[in-house]
Amino acid sequence: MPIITLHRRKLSQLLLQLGPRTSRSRRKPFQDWAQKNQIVIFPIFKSLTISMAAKAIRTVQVAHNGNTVNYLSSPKHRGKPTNDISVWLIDVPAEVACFTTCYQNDWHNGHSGCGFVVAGVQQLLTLGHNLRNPQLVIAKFVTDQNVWHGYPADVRHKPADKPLPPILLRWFQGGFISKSLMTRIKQGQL
Amino acid sequence: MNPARITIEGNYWDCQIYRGRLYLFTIKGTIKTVKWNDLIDSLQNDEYINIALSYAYKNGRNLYHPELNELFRDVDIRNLLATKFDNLSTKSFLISEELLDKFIIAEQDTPFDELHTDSEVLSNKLYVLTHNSLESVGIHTKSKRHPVERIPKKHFDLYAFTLRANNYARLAVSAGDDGLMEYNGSSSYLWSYHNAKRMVQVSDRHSSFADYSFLSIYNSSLAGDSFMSYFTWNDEVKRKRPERVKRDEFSEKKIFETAEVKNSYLSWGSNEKIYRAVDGGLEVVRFNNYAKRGEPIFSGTKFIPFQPWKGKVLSAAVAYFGTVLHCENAVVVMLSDGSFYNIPGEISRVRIFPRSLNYENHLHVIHEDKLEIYSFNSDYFVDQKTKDFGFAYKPAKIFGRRYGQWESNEDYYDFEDFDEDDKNDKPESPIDSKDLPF
Repeated sequence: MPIITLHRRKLSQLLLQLGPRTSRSRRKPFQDWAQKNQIVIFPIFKSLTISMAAKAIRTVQVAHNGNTVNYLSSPKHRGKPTNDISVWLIDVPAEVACFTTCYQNDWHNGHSGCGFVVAGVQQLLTLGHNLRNPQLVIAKFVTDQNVWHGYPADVRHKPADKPLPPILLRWFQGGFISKSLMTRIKQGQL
Repeated sequence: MNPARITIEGNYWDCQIYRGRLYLFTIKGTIKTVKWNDLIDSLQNDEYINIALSYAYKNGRNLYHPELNELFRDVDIRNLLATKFDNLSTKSFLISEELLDKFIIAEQDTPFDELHTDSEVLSNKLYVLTHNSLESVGIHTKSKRHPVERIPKKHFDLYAFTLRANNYARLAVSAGDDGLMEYNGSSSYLWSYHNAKRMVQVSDRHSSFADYSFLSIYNSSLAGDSFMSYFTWNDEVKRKRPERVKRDEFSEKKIFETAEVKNSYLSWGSNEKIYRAVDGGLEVVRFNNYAKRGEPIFSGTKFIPFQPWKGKVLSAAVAYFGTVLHCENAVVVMLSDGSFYNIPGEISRVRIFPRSLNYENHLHVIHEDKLEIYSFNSDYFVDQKTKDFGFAYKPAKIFGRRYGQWESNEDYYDFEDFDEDDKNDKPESPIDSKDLPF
């Protein structure tokens, strides 16, 4: 399945037209548009609700060691930021790539994991922001009913979003982060 | 006056010094317990600086002693000692891992199964913040193989950033959005029945790190307004034991009495001094925890146009010798004599020990590949009442025991007579008083 990024308005238009009550003639231009943009539209969408379709269209599969998991790019973290909800600044393919790196390197414990994107020598890329913190460099991934989703973690405010100690140690041993950055992450100084 | 410096090679995660022993937490997840006094003794090979070396690293508070202080009023003696400290600062002491091994009592695995977030020592116990809990183990045990107990005791489940202890067996725990918490570490029998009440939330406002200002707690936040939780003794109700109660919460704006500051980095405080780093300098406010009715709790703001730091301030702390700013690429020490000292480099952790009896002039700085132990000795020659940086030294009020009477020497243990089996792998019992103020 291709990884797609849709403009919100375009997506809602598309999904509305794919609804069960849509006539074939009205559906046609959007099917053409999807074909042109190499988007696979499954017939099953016709019988789904809009929210379910939106979920399906944002879900990709990530495989590692024979295990395949679903990753959902949550629309909650693609909308407006608030104090508590942080949103991504990177696009969906980069978000999925960040999760793939996390999953394939075992930077998780089966329930939650963390990831980052390298911007330079021991420097991390800003992945997202919220209203209280403009630079969030760590991604937190959690699983719910076998579907993973992620968000930029605000470790300055929420100590529970800190990466697990073994994961941080692996990042340090891999040379991705320095010892001082590891301390800063642990003490919420990012 | 420049500080003296000892460099210990190795990759360390954290360190603590307590009662003649240096505890080094390695990045590999082990703890090295070092005979600190023996290590310093081994460096004393120059008669001219031996006394300065001893005061700088082993018996810091001796120079604050009231009787010695009287001696220091003599100009000749002051100058002589200052010269000795100056000479000490020109010497470089490098301790390789091989040399350090000669003074190690034991190297053991950390009992916490992870590299901890923060640690504090209180009454023979090492309190540690792990990823999701507050735990403790006994230290300074008699065991030769395990000077740090192996089985930790979990006190509370919480996610937090930093830990700071005071002289009354309390630990301030900064837990980000979960607020400022306080743990009662008292070993008093009265509290043994109230374990559930040992952890209380002092405030629900954001907390990055905190420090005690006498009875009160100054809470610093990297995310927003810092504040002071103002505590006093409750003298309205007459009890056998005085009760400490929270009276108010003062925001940073109220303390510094300034409406708007363009670029305010961070504020922090300890004991009677509260600081705020702003563009172009530092603001200082003096705090009086025991103000009587009608007396001001905070003095007016004093601006010191002095900005030796650059970049983002990550954390800060106050000691007798000055105030320490941990910035992104350096540690800046603003000394009580008005000068400043810059330690460049990417520094992972900074430790000071203002509650200790002998190491209150120490500054431990952990670099990527070494530990530097600085000793700042200029404060002995500074008027304690008028200094701007660092809090004033006051002799501890301790009843029934003469000042400086506690044992801190390794000789306290006779290792020869001790059974090497770790059957009695317990901390040494505290000396009479349960909650010693160090």
